[in-house]
Parts: sequence; C-alpha cells; structure tokens
Amino acid sequence: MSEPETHYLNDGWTLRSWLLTTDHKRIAWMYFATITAFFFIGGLAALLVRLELLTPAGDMVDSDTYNKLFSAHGIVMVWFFLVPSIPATMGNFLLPLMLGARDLAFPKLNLLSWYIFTLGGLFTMTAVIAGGVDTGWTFYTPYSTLFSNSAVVLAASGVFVVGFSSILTGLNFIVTTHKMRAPGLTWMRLPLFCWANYATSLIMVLATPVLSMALLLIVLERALGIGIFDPELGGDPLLFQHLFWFYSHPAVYIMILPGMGVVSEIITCFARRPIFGYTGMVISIMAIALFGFIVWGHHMFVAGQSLYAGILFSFFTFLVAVPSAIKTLNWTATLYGGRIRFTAPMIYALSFLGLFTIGGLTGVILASLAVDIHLHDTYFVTAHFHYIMVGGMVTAYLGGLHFWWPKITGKLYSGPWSIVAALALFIGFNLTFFPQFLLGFLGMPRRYHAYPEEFQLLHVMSTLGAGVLAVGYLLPMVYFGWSLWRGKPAGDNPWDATGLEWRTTSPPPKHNFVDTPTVTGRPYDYV
Amino acid sequence: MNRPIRALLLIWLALLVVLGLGVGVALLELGTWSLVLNLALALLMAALLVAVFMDLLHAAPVIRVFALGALLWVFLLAVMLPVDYLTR
Amino acid sequence: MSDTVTIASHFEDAEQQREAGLMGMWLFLATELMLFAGLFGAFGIYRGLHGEAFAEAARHLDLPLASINTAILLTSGLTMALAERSVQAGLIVVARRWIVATVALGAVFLVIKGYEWHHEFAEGLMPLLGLPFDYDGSHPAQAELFFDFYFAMTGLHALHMLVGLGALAVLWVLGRPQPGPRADRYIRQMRITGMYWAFVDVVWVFVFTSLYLLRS
Repeated sequence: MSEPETHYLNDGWTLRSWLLTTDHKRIAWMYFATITAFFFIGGLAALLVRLELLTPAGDMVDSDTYNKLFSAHGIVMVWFFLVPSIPATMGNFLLPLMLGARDLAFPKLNLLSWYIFTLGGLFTMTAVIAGGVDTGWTFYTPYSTLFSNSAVVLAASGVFVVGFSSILTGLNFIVTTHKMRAPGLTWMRLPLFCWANYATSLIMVLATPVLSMALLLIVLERALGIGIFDPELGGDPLLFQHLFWFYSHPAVYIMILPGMGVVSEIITCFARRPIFGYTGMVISIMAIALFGFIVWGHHMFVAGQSLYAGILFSFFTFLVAVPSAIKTLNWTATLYGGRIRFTAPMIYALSFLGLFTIGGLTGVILASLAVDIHLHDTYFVTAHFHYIMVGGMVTAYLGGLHFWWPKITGKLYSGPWSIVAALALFIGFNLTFFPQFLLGFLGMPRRYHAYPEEFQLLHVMSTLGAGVLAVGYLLPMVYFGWSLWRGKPAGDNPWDATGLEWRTTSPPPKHNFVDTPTVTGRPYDYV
Repeated sequence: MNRPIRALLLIWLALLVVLGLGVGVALLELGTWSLVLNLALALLMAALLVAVFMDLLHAAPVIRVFALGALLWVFLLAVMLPVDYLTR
Repeated sequence: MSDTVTIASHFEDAEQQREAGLMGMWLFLATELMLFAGLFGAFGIYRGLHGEAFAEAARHLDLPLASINTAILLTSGLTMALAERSVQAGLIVVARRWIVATVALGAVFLVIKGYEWHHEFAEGLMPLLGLPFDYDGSHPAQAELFFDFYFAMTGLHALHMLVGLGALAVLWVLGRPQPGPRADRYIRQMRITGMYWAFVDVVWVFVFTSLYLLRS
C-alpha cells in the first residue's frame, strides 16, 4: 500500500500555511501540540507533588509552594488539557470525516478558537507559574477574593477567556452535526463518537457561560473593589460555589463523554461486533448530558449547603449512575462472543472499561450523604476523580490516538512497544491511585504536604506508580515520533474498521473526500 | 420572512403598553404582587421581542427546539439554585 | 438563486450555508442567555435574601428616566426590524436610513445611561474602586451589594450595546448598492445583527425589571 501523493499534510510547508489554516485537520494538529505541552507542564507539577509526599515530613517544598504546585497541576490539567482534550483534537479531526463533510461549518471560527485557547492558556500559565496561585483549581471565594494575591485575577481572567474557545468549538460542532451530514447519514446512523461530541458540545454551549459569569464576578470583585461575594455586605461565598459547579460538574461530562465515544469506536472494531444496544447508548449519552446539570450540589455536601438541598442532589447523583451503568453494560455485552484482537487501542479501551467502572462506583459511594461526611476532602475523593479523569479520559484519549494515528498521519507505529505503553499506563495508574483510596478511607486529607508516618508505605507506592505512569506517557511520544520518520504506510483502513473516516485515504486529502460519500446502513457493520 | 410593517408597529405599540403597565404596577408597590406581576410582564415583553423582532415565529423547527432548550436550561438554574437558600 | 450566490467551498448549497449561519447565531445567543442567567441568578438569590434592603435601594434609582430610556431602546428594536425588512425587500438605501436611526437611538440610550451613572456618582452611590458610598437608607451594607450588581448589570449590558453599535456601523459602511452574490451575504449579516440587537433589548427588559421595578 502506498500513500496518496497529495494530502492535507503536504499541502504547503510554510509556517503561514499552518498558522492561518482553516483546515480542521491542521487545526487539530495545532491543538495536539498545545495540549501536549500543557499536559507535560501539569504532569511536572504532579511529579513534584508526588516527590514531596515520599516522606512524611514536609521537607522538599514549604507548604505555600506545595499549595501552588497542586493548584498549578489542577488548573493546567482541568482547564487546558482535559476540557479541550478529545473534542479539540480528535473531535476536530474526525467529526467532519465521520459526517462525510469537507470541513466544520465555520472553519475560521475554528481557527479563532485555537488562538483564544492558546493565548488564554499561555496567559494563565504565566500567572500561575510566575505569580503563584494557591486557591486550588476551583478559585473558591473567599480564598480567591479576600485572601489571595493578584495572580488569582490574572489566572481567572485567562480561564474566562479560554471558556470562549470551548463555547465556539461546541457551537461549531453542533451546527456541523445538524447541517453537514452526508446523504443518507441519519441521526440514528451516526457513530457514537459523533453523538458523544454532540452531547459534549451542548454542555459546552449551555454550561460554560455560567462559569464565565462566576469568574467575571470574581474578577470584578477584585478589580473594582466591590463585594459580590463578601459576607460583610450580605454576600454569600457559597453562591460562587453554586455557580462554579453549575458549570464544573457538567464539565466532568465534557471530559468523560468524548472518551466514551472513543471507546465505543474501538471496542466494536476490535471485537468485530456491532455495538450492543445502539439506541440505549444514544439515550444514555443524552441523559448523562442532561442529568449532569442537576447534580452539582454533591460537591457542597459539607460546605454549608442545606441538608434538604443535599438530599435532593444526592438523589439526582444516584440517578446519573443509571445511564453510566447502561453504557458499561453495553460495552461488555459487545465484547461477548466477539473475536477480540488485543491491539494497543483495544488494551486502552479495556483499561477504560475497568477503571471507569471503579471510578463510577466510588462516585456512588461519595454521593451517599452520610458516607461523604467521612470521605470528603480525603484522598478517597482524589482517587475517585483520578479514576474518571485519568483512568477514564486520559486512557480513552491515548486509545483514540493509537486507533486513529494511522489515519491522521498515514503511518503505522510499533505494535509491541505500543502494547508495552498501554500496559504501563494500566499498571502505573492503578499503583498510583489505588493506594489513595485506602489512604482516604484511613483519613488522610487532600492538599497536605506533611502526614503521619503510618501513611508512608501507601504514599511511597503511589509515588512509584507515578513513575511507571510517566513511562506510559513518554513511550508513545517516542514511537509516534519514530513512526513519522520510519513508519510503514498505513493504507486507507489498517484496522479493517467501518465508519466514513476509513473510506478516504490516509492521510486524508485537503477536502477529506474526493467524492461525497453516501451512507446506506447503520454504523458498526461488523460481521 | 417578510413581516408586514403593520405587524411590527403593532408589536412595538404593545411593547410600550406593557412597559407602561410594568412601571404602573411597580409604582403601586403591591409587595409580592408587584414582584409576580412585574416578572410576568417582563416575560411577556421578552416573548414578544423574541417571537417577532428576532423572528422565532418563522424560524425552522429545529431552531424552535433550541430556543425551548435554552429556556429549559435557564429554568434548571432558576429552580435548582434557590433550593439551597429556601431550605437553609 | 444559487447561481448568483457565493458559497464557501465546504458547503453544498446556499440554503445549507444560510441555515448554518442562522443556527450558529441562535446557539451563540443561547450561550449569551446562560451568561446573563448566571448574573440574574446571583442577583435573584440576593434579592430573596435581602428583599427589603434591595427594594429600598431600588427606590434610589431614577425610574422616570430609565423608563424613557427603555422606551427608546424598544423603539430602536422596531427601527432595526424595519431595516431588516427593507434589506430583504432589496431596498438597501432605505435600510441604511433605518440603520442610522437605530444607531442614533442606541447612542441616545447610552448617553442617558451615562448621565444616570454620573448622577449616582455625584450622589455617592457608586461603590466602585474605593469611592465613598454615601447612602441614607436603613441597610447601607446590603444597599452597597445592590449597587455593585447595578453597575455590573448595566455595565455588562452597555458593553453589549457597544458591540451591537459597532456591528451596525459596519453594516452601514458595507451597505452600498451591490451585485447579486454580495447582496445575499448582506441579507444574512443584517439578519444576524438584527437578532443580536433584539437580544440586547431582551436583556435590558430584565435588567430594567430587576433593578428599577422591584421596589416594594
């Protein structure tokens, strides 16, 4: 198999042809580069945190620096890696391909989103690193208003600006999905990856502005010296938490739904079976997006929220477990009786399945009001959300990258090494975060840089695990880089997968398809 | 698409009348009743503006679904946010 | 019609391009709606917590002037709708006159708003940037909270007005007699600006109601 002569990558080599491109595939690459840089900066902060926690004494950094380190880790990872991760990169690259379109509906807006994202990100990064922000990633009032340095205003402004990038991306995806589908591609024939990105986009468009307003109010409070959340004037610091989590809980689903989309694509392909319960999957995706909006109060059970509000939010939180469980069940049922091929993407997808289940079930534990009083603000919570965010989202991100790399670059990477990397991620991740469930259950609180000696063994395990995890992250950089130089041509469809993106050449031509494809049946037509 | 001038003028007049009513209700200072009536009148004005000046009336069905969805989300915030404050 | 219209290379036809643009604008306005919903939600919570104090503070605002201003803004909504209608009928010259009327009304609104702000500044009711807050009512602290929201809400609305006026100015400049394909594009731009302008009116209706009318 040979590469096509002209494709989107060799269509112009100048810097200008990249920085002013409106091709969704090139913009996806620009996002890949930016968020990978942010990921490693956030990872570096995490590494320093883990090194500090090797010993019970707070001896490597002082407590102020430690506060700034975990804040930097959270701010960078959540706002500049997890939220944009799959939609901005693979979503950007694949959505038009999967829909059989030549580009997103608003290509210039897409480029603008990248500039907003990158400039806002660099701005915040400067504030976080040079100025130091110690509020955690959540900017809670009154930490952020009455008791912090001015870098908080700059950091929050940066996050505010970046919000518009996700709003514009979401808007672009929604219009594209509605208006740009190929002939015959009805809604119930859409790949689940498209549905997942559609639901994610809805959340981005409807939730992000509320966060923007909450951050704007903080910035106004600080910049104009007014007292929106100041208790002395009758303001309520908890109100900020309400507005913040009205976005930030749905944002958890911004981070996990695209991962679910990726996993659906991978599992069907490597089990060679159509997805079990397609309609149920679609309904669950949309249900998760909707329910995600009415559970935010479970972040505030012990913050001073009323007990009755707590009960209501606890109940809705249990409800979210239902569609999540349906999805997990359907993936497992898809595997049943399949001819499974253990390639690297499949190992990532199976890791996702296990780790997401643990993350989800511990979420149900935390949603129980009484239990949460014991577990809140302990390492149990830290472990829980890392099982979702890293075990779920980052695993799915890497799985998707391995799955579509041959399509994106037209090259094959090393099979054995990629399996090593996928296993390193699974083992390293569990070694890092499983001990943290135990730590939290035993009472170790989050965000402390010193701890009693009896916790040391578990902390050492966790730090060792972080080392293995780092290998799992760095290894793909090496063989992906290698494949760009020396990789064999992939051909149009190396995995023998369905989906419109595999019907064009690898890498795709500038306008994606030579002839607009038509669709005649349901997705995942594997036999 | 082409809204007759007469309809536009009528809507404009209606808006001004509702505005006058709202100011009147506010000046009567009826306590809770003023609150309820003023909010209802504001919603009415907003509905007129969206239906005619933004021309939602002639928009595609999917756009009307979007408008309903946006309304639902405002409703979610408006209902769920006070729950905490009303039960503290 | 499609052979006289410029279609961007990634669209199939003019219909698809037009509908995509409209849908994008509606979604953008949904986002704007949620932005203001956050602000009004916060205000609503405090209005519930400090009803009496907020009602008292509201009586310190200039209701007659603000009512006139609201009427002016609603009228600008009418002139904008008329401008759109003229463009759709192909009467670009007429449309440009209506644009001028809309801009003029919008500018008058902002001038009156600015006069009100200045008046509040002079009375010591502007608790921004460490300015003294000189309030004669019985709940000075909560009243300060009210005025914080007053300036945040009216300020944010005024910012949106400025964006709208800028868009209208661009439309006025672009609106010279044009060949067919560009005219189609002009109609779309006009439609989108008109939606935005009406939306800014909607926001004002709620700003006005929340701040000025809830006085008892």
